Amino acid sequence: MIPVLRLKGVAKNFGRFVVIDDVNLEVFEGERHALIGPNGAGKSTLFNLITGRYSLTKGVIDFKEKRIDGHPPYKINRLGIARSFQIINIFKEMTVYENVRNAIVAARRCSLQFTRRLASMDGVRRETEYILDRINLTSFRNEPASTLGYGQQRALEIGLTIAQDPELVLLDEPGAGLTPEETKEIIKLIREVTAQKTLLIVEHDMDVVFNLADRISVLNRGRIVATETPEEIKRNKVVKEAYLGGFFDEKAG
Amino acid sequence: MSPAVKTFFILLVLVLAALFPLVMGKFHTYLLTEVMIYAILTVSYYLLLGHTGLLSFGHAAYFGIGGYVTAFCFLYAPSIPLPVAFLLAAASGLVSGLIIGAMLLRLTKIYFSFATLAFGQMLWAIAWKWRSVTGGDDGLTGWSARKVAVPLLGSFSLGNVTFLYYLVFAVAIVSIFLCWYFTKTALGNTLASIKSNPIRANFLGINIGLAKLMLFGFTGLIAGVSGSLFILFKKMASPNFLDLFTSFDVVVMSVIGGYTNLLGSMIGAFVYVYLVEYLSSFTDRWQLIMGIFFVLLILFYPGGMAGMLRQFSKRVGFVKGDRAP
Repeated sequence: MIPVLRLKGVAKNFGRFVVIDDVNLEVFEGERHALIGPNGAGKSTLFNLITGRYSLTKGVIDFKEKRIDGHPPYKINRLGIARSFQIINIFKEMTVYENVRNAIVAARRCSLQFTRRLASMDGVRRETEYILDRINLTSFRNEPASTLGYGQQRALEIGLTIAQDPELVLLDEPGAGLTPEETKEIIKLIREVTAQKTLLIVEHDMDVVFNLADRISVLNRGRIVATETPEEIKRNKVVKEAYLGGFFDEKAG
Repeated sequence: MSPAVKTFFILLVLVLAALFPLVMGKFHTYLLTEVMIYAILTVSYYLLLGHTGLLSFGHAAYFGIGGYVTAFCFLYAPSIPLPVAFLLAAASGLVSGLIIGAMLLRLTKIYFSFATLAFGQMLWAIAWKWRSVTGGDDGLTGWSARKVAVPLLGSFSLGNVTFLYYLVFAVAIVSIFLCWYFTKTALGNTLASIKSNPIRANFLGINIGLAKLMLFGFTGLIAGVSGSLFILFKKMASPNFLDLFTSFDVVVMSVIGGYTNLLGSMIGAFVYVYLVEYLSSFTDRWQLIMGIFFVLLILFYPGGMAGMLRQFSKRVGFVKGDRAP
């Protein structure tokens, strides 16, 4: 099987500081792939490398067998990769409706269209309303995004990502800062909206990860130390030492 | 404000403006012509500053280029009909907007502002030094008064204050409508999203550079149009039209009126032109009074005259809601 996303020998230094050392990773079509690892392991950096925010120091990134490293973020997005951010990254001054609409207009490649009024594009309006409904923000559609509660901003963050109907969804800690209740809601949402899609997710909440993921990769000190199914990861000694620590022992006890 | 009320006000203003020369006499007709020319300029500037959040200190460059191109046509190629000269001025504004814009694309914030200032001053230096073409600091003038044939109405001289008023009025309606429409298109919305969060816009697949370039072209075009009208109005071209001070005038007008909205930009042009006229007839040190007025206004009404109006109309219950200035 040919992976949708393939990282080969990817490395990233910031000056002399090596953040990503040598990462090889394959994400297959339709799988939910989780990326875990301790703080500072380089998870977010890896996302930033895949989506074009940073340039690689070494290595190759392929998406559907085409090289994507070196492209600016907007071009990588247009190939069918959409991401969310660990720190909420929405259009704060714009309304919830406008936020989602931005994502949809961009995905339809009509961001630069200047002959028609945006309000007259019925297709855009319908799609926007559909996404608002899916992320349960219809009743807040005319509120500025900055006035939403934190959990709702999280939902919007994911909404912007999935509104574009990408082939590959990258979610960077979608549950960061949420209460257990809110996390449950978000995970349910992620499950729904990423059905039939390929997902790469960074998440700290182990309950979430082991529940959601088909396969898990463990990143430690800039290297992938294991890529296995959740069951195998739980038994993997290297992983336990590197990251999970007493997590499962505590659960058992 | 409901759309019906809005439409009513727009129509009211248009009717009043159309009747203005018949009621108010030559002096005010002349002044309001200048107001409308500046209003086109400030509205084109609104697209940059208010709408996209780009603070330019060189907007007079496009204004001046449009003006000089018009003057070149009048002086060096008098056989070119006025509408063609006018379109050439608009096109020169568009092209210079694209060229200067392309060089500004990667710059943001203060770096952007200072680069615009540098480009503006470069053009000013060219107009100032290239005597054989631009007339240097004397500027260009001395073309014969043009006659313009208007279908159904006959032929008018551009020297006719009332005719010039209506000409500018017509161009202003079209230009300002186009600017308003621009903000309502997908591209206009994209530029607003770039102002709000350029990083997220980039990751959503928006080509920020291209969007900005289109903006620079469009705003240059409209500024070029206003510059062309200004030449008809002043009957001369001068390097002053594209210097630093004209660029700052645009900023000051926008801030006085309320740079975050299109209406405010127009109000700014009105208030500025009338203030300068009355203050300068009253004292030579009018800039001192203007400065104090400016400082007081931004201290107490950072939203400018438009913000002031909004606060007032909210107090009397005319407008609901709480939109930021």
